[in-house]
Amino acid sequence: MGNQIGYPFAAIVGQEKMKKALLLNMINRKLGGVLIMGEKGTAKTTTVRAAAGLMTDMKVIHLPVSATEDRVVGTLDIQHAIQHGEKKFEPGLLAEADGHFLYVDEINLLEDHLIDVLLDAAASGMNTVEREGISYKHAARFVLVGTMNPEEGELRPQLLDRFAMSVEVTGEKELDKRIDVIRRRMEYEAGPEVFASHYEEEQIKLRDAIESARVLLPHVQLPGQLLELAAEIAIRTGVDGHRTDITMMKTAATLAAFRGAESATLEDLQEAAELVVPHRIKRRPFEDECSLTELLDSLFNGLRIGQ
Amino acid sequence: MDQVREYPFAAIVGQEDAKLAIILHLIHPGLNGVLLSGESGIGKTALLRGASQLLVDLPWVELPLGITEDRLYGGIDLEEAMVRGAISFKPGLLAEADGGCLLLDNIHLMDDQVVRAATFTAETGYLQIEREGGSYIINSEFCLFAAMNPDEGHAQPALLNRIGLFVHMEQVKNRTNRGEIIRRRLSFENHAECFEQAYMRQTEELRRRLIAARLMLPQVLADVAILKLAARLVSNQGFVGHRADLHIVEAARAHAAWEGREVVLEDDLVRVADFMINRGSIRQDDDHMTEREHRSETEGVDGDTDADQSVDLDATDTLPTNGESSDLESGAYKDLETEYGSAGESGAYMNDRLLGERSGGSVAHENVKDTISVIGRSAATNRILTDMRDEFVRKNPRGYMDGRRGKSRTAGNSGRLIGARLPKGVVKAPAFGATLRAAAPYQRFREKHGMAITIEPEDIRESIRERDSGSALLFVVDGSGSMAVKRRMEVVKGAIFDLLQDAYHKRDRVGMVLFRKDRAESVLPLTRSVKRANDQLLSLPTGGGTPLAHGLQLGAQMLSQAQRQYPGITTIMIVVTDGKANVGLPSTDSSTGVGQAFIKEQLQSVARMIREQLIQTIVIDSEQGFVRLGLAKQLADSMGAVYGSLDECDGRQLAHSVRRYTEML
Repeated sequence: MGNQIGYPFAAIVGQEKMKKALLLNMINRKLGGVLIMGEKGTAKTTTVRAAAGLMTDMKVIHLPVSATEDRVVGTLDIQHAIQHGEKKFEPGLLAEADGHFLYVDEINLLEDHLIDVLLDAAASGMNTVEREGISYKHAARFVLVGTMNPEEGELRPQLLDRFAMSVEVTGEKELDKRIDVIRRRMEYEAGPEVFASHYEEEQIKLRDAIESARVLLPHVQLPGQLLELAAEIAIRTGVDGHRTDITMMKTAATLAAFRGAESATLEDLQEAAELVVPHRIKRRPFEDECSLTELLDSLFNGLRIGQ
Repeated sequence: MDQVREYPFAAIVGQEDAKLAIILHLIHPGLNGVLLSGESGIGKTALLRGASQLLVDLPWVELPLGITEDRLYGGIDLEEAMVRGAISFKPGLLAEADGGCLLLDNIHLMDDQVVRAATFTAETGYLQIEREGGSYIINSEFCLFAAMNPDEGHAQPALLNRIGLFVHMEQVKNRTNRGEIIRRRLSFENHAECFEQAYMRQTEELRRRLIAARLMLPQVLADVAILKLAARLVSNQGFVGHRADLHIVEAARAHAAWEGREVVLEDDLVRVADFMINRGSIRQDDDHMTEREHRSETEGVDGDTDADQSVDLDATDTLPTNGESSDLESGAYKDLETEYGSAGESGAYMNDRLLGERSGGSVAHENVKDTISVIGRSAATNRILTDMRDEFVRKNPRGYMDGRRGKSRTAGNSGRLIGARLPKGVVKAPAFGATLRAAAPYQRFREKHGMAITIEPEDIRESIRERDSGSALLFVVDGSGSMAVKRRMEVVKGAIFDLLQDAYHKRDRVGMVLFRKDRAESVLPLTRSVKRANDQLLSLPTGGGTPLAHGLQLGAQMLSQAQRQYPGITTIMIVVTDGKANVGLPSTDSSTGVGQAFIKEQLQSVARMIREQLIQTIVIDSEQGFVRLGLAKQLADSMGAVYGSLDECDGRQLAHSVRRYTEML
């Protein structure tokens, strides 16, 4: 998009979980978005842009924290009304984001009622406007990506439940990897086209994989045992409602499709659980970080032994 | 757009109570609505949307979150005015629901006035509105379906006092059934059309039965025995008022019709009894005040009234009403109005001449005098109050600010758009739609200058947005030590519950940060939900050192975030400590050997930072014992905070002191 070639997704060092989460949401647009938790400067924006860059028809629409309701939801087109005496809807960011990524940085600082509107649209895939004399409804199927720094605030549990998955990103700890990140960035800045051409092949492979996965997805088999296991995980972790279970299975199915498999497996479910469950667990204060991994391991190992 | 397919009602697993309540109301619109309560993701929306497919010939209207007044009540049709120069009324969503159903999903997120308007209209079928220079009457009879999440907040009193059927939904715990829920949902999302087909037979059967029941209802009779039984059932359960008997009988009739009978049986009564809402028990679990105590309080010990009693005069261009009690239903409901009616809040809305009265009977206004009186129970409370008031006045020589509590509706650019009004002074945020509607009828008489519409200065309207000018009350509590800490916890918890119950009126959010051992943690994020507080504060760990600076820092951070999320909110931090900090901030490298001087320095810099932000602070001194170090007082001074003492103070008194303080702001 624009004059400059974007940084290629395939060139991003590390951040495997974040990349995976974004890819899954591109394969299955109805998955429910990603909440990215991390400090500043962890390449969140770059990665999301790069993900959109994989597809020819996706872009990233930014929703700033200071956005007004009119700008987000859409409103009466005043100019048109005054000039032509006709009521016309002026689309907002939700309309622009239909079919794309909607990126909200520092989502915990967004005005409360705007978050509600956002999540409502994300859940229903539609934006219903009844304001200022305008009645308008339009499709709003976007992939919601929110970022926040968990040390600077928190989101209501009901909002957390609306995000399909969450990932934590930290800066690269290993020195080698850090050097790699810097080196690549410098190379890119020096000559974007040349840099991008190095990764062209990989990018194409990724794109094809996404497309194939999309086609395969509706046909992926979900064994009954897996469904009950997902339910078991939800019950044991004490999460709210049924959205967690459902999202776990959708994610597992998407993972399987991405692998090109016809049926979801235990491994798919485990990986899905690690993406889908953590941000929904209610932690007791002053307790040690709950060990979802341990719970999952014990559940899954028990199953494997039984197989 | 493709046709949106809703998940079939018949395909929903379990939730038999919720399904039945919905069906009963569809059979009998006179049951005054269904309220589904349940946690996130439990299927409330699925049920309500699925229900919309059962009687497809009837209008189904959903009130979206961001709805403005003109689309709720209706307004001048802009295009009609511009094209034909005619003033005609374009009906709003309330009118569109006539003869059908109105859906309010997430009522805890909706504007209070919207919920009130919907509830009043649902009850009486009638609403009189005056706006935009016209007087309109809406006649609309519909079934009302609402959903809420108790973990997020509470339902508006207007709704709770009127809603007919209440169902609390629980998670399906059975693993196999849960697995089935997942399977069905995924199947629906992947192949909606096939899935719908698979349940077509059951859906048709439901529809057939529903229609038959609706036809049968007028013939269904309840004999005297049933009426007597109903009265007994109701009084056994402790329900208040005579309406409850009538209501349970009506619900039983609907149930009988559903079962294909023209005679109401005992079984019908028993089945529907589960859906009755006990208005007396709405006050949730922790009951600090019994009805009697509250009433004697509101009668006032020294006649003190809520400074915020005055109505928000700026809200509209129509006449203000006084905050006086109006015709209340005699008998049992009177006490409820005293408990739940709030003049400060509803007064502002009444300015819009939101009149829902019909001949007698129903409660028209909620303009009940909301008097917060002094709980003059002990000298200690009075002392706290006097001290705090003196301190406050001393520290704020400008004097008290204009008190205004709850939600305020102001002109401006942030907050949820509610409607429009004639501007007061300089227009900050023009309301375009309303301005055009004001200009539209006169276009025939104006010079156009090549435009379709000419706008004159008198047409200009400004937007009213709802800003959360309630308060965020964050308790930052010292959980260290072993001796006095238990009592401290009990007092703070008591205060939190007391404040949350009052949140019915004031729309405040309350939260708690606990600091002990080596750090501070948020144990209750800012919430209005008593249930949430209950769940989170059940058992709190205590003991260890005193990381006071981190407690203050975390508290300031949370309130700062609240300021951004809820524009207009007043942020208040209540620090309960003896001031004896002995643990530094978590980032402090312990290897450098943290001395008291360093800790003190950290504390001072955090205190300074808090003073620089617009966070009002109260320090409640929990120091015990004979020899007083007075460190909490020093802390208060360095933060520019008001100071009070925990001595002889219980939870209620602390809550009361906090309330009084917030009113002074």
